[in-house]
Amino acid sequence: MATQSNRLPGGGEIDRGKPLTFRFDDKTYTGFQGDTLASALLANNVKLVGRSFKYHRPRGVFSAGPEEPNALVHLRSGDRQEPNTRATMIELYDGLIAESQNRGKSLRNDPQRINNLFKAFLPAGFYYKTFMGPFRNTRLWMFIEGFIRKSAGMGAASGLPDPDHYDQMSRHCEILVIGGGPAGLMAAKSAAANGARVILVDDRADPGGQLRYEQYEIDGKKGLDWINETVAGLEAMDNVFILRRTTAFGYYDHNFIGCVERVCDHLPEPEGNKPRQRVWNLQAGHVVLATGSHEQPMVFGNNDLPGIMLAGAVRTYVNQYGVVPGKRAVVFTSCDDAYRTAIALHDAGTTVVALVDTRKLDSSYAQQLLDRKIRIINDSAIVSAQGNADGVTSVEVHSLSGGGAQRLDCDLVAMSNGWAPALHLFSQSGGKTAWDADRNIFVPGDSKQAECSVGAANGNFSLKTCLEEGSAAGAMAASSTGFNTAVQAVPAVSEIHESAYEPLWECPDPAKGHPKKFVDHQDDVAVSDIQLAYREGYISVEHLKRYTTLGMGTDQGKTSNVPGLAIMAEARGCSIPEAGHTTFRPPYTPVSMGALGGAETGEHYMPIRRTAIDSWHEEQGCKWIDAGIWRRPRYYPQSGETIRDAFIRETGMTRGSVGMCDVTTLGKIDLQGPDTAEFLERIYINHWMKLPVGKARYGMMLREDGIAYDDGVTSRMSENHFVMTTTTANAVKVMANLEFYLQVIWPELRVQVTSVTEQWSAIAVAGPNSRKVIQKIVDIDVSNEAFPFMGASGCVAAGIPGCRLFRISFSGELAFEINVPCDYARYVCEKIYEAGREFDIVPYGTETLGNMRIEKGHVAGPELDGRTTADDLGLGMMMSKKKEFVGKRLAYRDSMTGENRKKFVGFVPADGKTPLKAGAQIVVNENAAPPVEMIGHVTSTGYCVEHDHPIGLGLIRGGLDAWKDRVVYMSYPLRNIIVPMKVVSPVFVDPEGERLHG
Amino acid sequence: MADPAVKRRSALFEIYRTGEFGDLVKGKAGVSICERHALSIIQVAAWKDQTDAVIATIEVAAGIKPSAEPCSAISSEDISAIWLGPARWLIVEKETRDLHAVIGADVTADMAAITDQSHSRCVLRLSGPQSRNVLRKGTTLDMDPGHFAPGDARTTSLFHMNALIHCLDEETFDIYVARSFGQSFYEVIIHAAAEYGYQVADRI
Repeated sequence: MATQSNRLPGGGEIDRGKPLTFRFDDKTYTGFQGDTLASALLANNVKLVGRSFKYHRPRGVFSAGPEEPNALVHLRSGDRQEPNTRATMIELYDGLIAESQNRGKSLRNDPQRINNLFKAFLPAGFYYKTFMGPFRNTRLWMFIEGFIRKSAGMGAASGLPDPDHYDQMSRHCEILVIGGGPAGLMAAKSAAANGARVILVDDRADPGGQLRYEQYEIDGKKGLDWINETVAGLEAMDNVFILRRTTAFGYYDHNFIGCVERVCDHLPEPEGNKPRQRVWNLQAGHVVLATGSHEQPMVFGNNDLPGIMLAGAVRTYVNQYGVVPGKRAVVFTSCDDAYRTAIALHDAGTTVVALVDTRKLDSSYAQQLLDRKIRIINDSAIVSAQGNADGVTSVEVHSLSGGGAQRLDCDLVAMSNGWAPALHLFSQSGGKTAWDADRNIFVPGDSKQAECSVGAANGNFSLKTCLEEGSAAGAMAASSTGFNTAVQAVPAVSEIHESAYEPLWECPDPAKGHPKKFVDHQDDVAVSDIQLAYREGYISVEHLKRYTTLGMGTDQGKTSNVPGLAIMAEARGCSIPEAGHTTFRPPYTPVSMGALGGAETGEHYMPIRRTAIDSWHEEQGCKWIDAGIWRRPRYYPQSGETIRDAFIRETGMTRGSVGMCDVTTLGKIDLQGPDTAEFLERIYINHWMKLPVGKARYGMMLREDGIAYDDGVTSRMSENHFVMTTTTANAVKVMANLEFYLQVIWPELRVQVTSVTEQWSAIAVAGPNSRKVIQKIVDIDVSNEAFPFMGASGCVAAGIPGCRLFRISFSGELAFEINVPCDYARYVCEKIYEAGREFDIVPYGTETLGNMRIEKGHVAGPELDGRTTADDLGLGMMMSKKKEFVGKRLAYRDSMTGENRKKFVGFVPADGKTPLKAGAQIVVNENAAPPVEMIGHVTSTGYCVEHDHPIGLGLIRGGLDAWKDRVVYMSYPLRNIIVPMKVVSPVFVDPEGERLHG
Repeated sequence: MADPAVKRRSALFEIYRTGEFGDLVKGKAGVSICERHALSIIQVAAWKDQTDAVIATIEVAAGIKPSAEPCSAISSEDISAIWLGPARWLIVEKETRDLHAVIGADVTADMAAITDQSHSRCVLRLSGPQSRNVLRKGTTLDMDPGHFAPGDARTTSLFHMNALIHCLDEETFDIYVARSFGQSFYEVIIHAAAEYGYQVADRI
């Protein structure tokens, strides 16, 4: 087991008493509680952690935060393996397993590192150019493309189902503070002082931000102590809710913020029933963005070698984790910030060979370096680095004013080209970024939503201004959401005024050669690629981004966007703000699909509606089918039966004796009030005023444009009380429509509508023996004389009072429909089944239900397809000429009437046996050359059991008048099927309706 | 009222199992779940000009005075009147009498439409310190105390199902969903509650 050779004996926030064992690429290491995977790897002097996207160049840990472009690993193994996780954000746990990605068998000897030798042939856009060359669309291209795809890229998903679960949660607050650094904590403290609800979101295990790795004192105490006190104070308040390990990834309209909490990612496996991650949907009155800033890298030759890191990250590893990532360091900077890294490294015992400063000025920290005998090389830049997969070995330094070049041996380069405010969320909120020419940074411009940025996110990097801005913003946010303000006093801090930052966006080339100067490390985009894009005309930053993939990696260009567009500005000879800034889009950092999916997977994917007789169907061995979100029995197979066998048997037994079917899913609407009959007159095409009490009637509704909308049976239970049924599919829409007419169009009508679909279970009993069965169940006389066709009555059923009986039929047989309050439905269902046993009663499902209505020529969903009129469906006679109704005016337009409309007919295959196909086109000629005119289509198909042949329903131009008994062709070009069929009446059974009335 | 030998069968009949489940904290459940069954649930929809008369009449007939205040509910030990919309309420009690007939006897057809919905809902009572967190997983409503307080009743989308949530006290909610959703609803609630530890209690 490797020792932690780079670990300091003391210092940092790690617990040396709690060693943790972990594995990276087949080697076992130890780290300590409090480490990240990156800090533990660095402690063990592991420099090479990955291979680059395109050239497979060796890469090491680059940063210490969410901006990490290089140290992306497969975390965990087996079905928990997750690709592209950032080692800098992974909290170490005992037994952690990680593997490097985008490599061959071995990271060190990755065979694809030869790509680097061909880098001249793999510039930006080379892949796009393969689309144009002579080999485009050839087998050769297809062959090579496979290799390109394989060599490019990132980690791989495990391909196995994720064993963990995820969750979503919502919360509201007056003030949402994003970022728990000094500015955010101060904002939360002052916002919460007078009772406003405050949510503080921080992406680390513990808030604190920069104070966890800087050496400031606040109020005479260590910065960390101030943090702990402040956090404890906030936690004690009822109105403050702190979300740790939570990243705000998206800022949406109406101050709606999406966050992801890594609930159990710091553990080997989620505890108990806890989700692994949880998405938080936060709704805030005011948002305080205290998201900090990202340090920007220097762009020089071979700046991607392992051991070349951001200076702030190096300081973090030293101060927070007690790790020195090298023995001999060169610090390279254009700002004062990195001086503190030089001091921290020196004080930790590392040899700081030199600090190279691009500026001519004396830094505010210069004296502190001189005191430590650290050499400062002003007005100079590193122009190239040398090294190999084990890391950087030396750097070449040039004066920027010409002259002196020197080589410095080192194994660590800490670089800083200043800090860029993290504007991602601000930009997502709709705000436009603004260029601050004095400070050479993009800062938040005008707000579009109720938000403000504070501290480093606002371009103010000093600790004092962070605290001041935080306090003021918290108070302002509280007052803007209706709470009294109390600006919290800002504690005194120890820091010195820093001298001005003067960025150097691109370092000059060395005297010999043009080594690659990387801008976007994750996507292997170098300065030469940006210049190529410029030469090829992709000068807009948005084109630049897409052509070179600059900033399109999982790090979203946190360390590459600003240098990239500065280099483009330089090439164009314009200013940085003229070159502009690309748009930030969610997510700020990658979010796993599992978290976005939340708990809605597997059996919880969507809710299922079950009828009250659901369990009985299951016991009868039904096969289920989804009908919208209802589940309904499709058929009840007996041993060895296919679905076709089953529905033919169910149809035959029902027509031969009696069958029963659960029709609960039909919409049921209760209408009450003195104007109900009048209301029905207006929404249905037929008459209702004179419908007697105790009678049902079939009704058809049109849309306002005259197209057939929905149909069903409505019954008059008493003078002013009706019960309407709708199709299953339109139940909710019709209900909403009725409410709309009553509330908006005819508020003067005294009618109340209530959905009672859920109150009543409905069981249809059909067949010549249905009366005998029903008479055993209900307490009313159901003889033809006492209860004729279309009768409707209250009844007691199987001893259950308050039931309803209707003599209506969808099958065309003598039939009844019994409605039972749901809690009694299973009981009554069983009683009906028992009563029917002597008649061999058969339960039938939607397959038979559909087949029998096709045999009877009733229209349903496939015919009510949003294109047909009542007349097309053979129901034109129902349309009253004597009254107004919804859709009437538009139903009589020229195009909606006339001989050439496609009208409802039936079909029989000419050979009497070939099955017909729903959706097939109808043509007049068997062998016509395309284009072939389509004169109609088959809507529904079934099997007529009585006549023992397949049947179909459909729409054909001119209808029965034009085509009766003529042969047309059913064409199904996808399967190359042509079937001659005869056009017949759509009513295949009992055309006179004798059974219904018998 | 039916033959007393025939018991009403709840939508959860097949799956309701009492006991303690999930991640109990020191043996204690963070949320308690119980089904309210069998209930009388009567919807009263008053004609607009009869609103005051209907409120007064229900008070006399059923023993609870509905409030015209939107999103509110009035409840006593035995009975609740929950606002559903302008001049529209649900009157809910444990089934001990024919509530539809009791109300219908005094609230006549020229005052209001009365509809029996007793079998149309699956009703769960959630209580305990984690009950609000369970609901936060399924709705984007503001579930903080003070923003959803005792006496508040709101109709919302809960775990993608239309639900009426009635807050009875700081930690107790009655949730009404369509009966056909009952099983899906119960399953998703216990799934959401598992990380807090939950108890399924006898029906009340």
